[in-house]
Amino acid sequence: MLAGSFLGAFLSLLAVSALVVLGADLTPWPLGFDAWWQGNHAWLRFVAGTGILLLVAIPILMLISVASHALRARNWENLLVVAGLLTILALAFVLARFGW
Amino acid sequence: MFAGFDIVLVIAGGLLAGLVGSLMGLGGGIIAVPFLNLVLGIPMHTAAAAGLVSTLCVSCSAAGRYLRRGGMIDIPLALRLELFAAAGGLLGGFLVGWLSGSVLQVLFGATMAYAAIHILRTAHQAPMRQDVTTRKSSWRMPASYLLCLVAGVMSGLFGIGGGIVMVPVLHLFLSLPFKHATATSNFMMGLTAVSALCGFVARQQLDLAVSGPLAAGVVVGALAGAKLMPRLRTPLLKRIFGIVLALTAFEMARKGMTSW
Repeated sequence: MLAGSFLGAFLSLLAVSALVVLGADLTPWPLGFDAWWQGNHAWLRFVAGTGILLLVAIPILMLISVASHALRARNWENLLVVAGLLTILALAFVLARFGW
Repeated sequence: MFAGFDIVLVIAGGLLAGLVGSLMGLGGGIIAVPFLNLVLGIPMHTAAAAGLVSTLCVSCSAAGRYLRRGGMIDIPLALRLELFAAAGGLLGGFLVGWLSGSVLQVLFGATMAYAAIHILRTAHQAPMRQDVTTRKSSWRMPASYLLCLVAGVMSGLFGIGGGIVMVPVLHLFLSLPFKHATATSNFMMGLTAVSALCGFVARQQLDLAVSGPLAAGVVVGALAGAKLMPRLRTPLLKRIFGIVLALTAFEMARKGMTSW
């Protein structure tokens, strides 16, 4: 997890730094559901966004790992709570994608 | 236009947030957000979104360490409480869209003032008990759920981890040993931040040019803080940090009120 957060943060930093060196206009540059990588130097923009998405993915992967442990231990109660949490995260994603 | 100097400043802010956050047992958002808003003039909503990214970094690094040690995180309890904190984060992340930057500054100032008082009050307390049995009596659990919901809403509104509410709930309310309470809160913060971030992404307020450099600074700062921790005099640091936080809270609230 520490390695994942290092990787995500530094991928993003390196791509943003390269874009600044190349003189790209970075304001405003929001991460959204549309093509946030579009514009000049699309690959660098894609890498910067992927770094942040990697950071977002880590807690979700951690949750999935907890769910798999609960499944192997047949701990249905924990599994149900994890399912509830994943539902909340999915709801957040759907609301963000399709509107409040 | 975002220039090289701005990136260096954002990284420096991230380093400071990660370092102080890890020394004080906070997520880092409570330092990163005012730094971005007051020092660099970044709009409050964008600063809050970046604060959530900094919280994610601290949570990922710290929770990973605690999970490897084993037994530090009360996973069943964390999962149950996180159901409410994540719901609160989702709510806060969307509600913040209806608040103006100045209202948010005043509310953030009030939250910082609470954090400052909490830090100053605990600066000279003896090391907390580590051998207490967890109490989950009938009224404590529902009350903890409610407080975690509040912590989640605060996290979504201000871009902070919510540890200033979650750790006291876990330690004082549910009598989880202090180190275990901090570890469990760190595990929970990341998931709360993910649910809160969705609202900011929907409103296109998660700026990649700010979040990337800030995240890198926070990760390095948090690591340095963890290494420095045993060599530093924590009570003195806490007192200094509490006073700085109180002054920043005042400045944040004043700025919000003047532009109301």
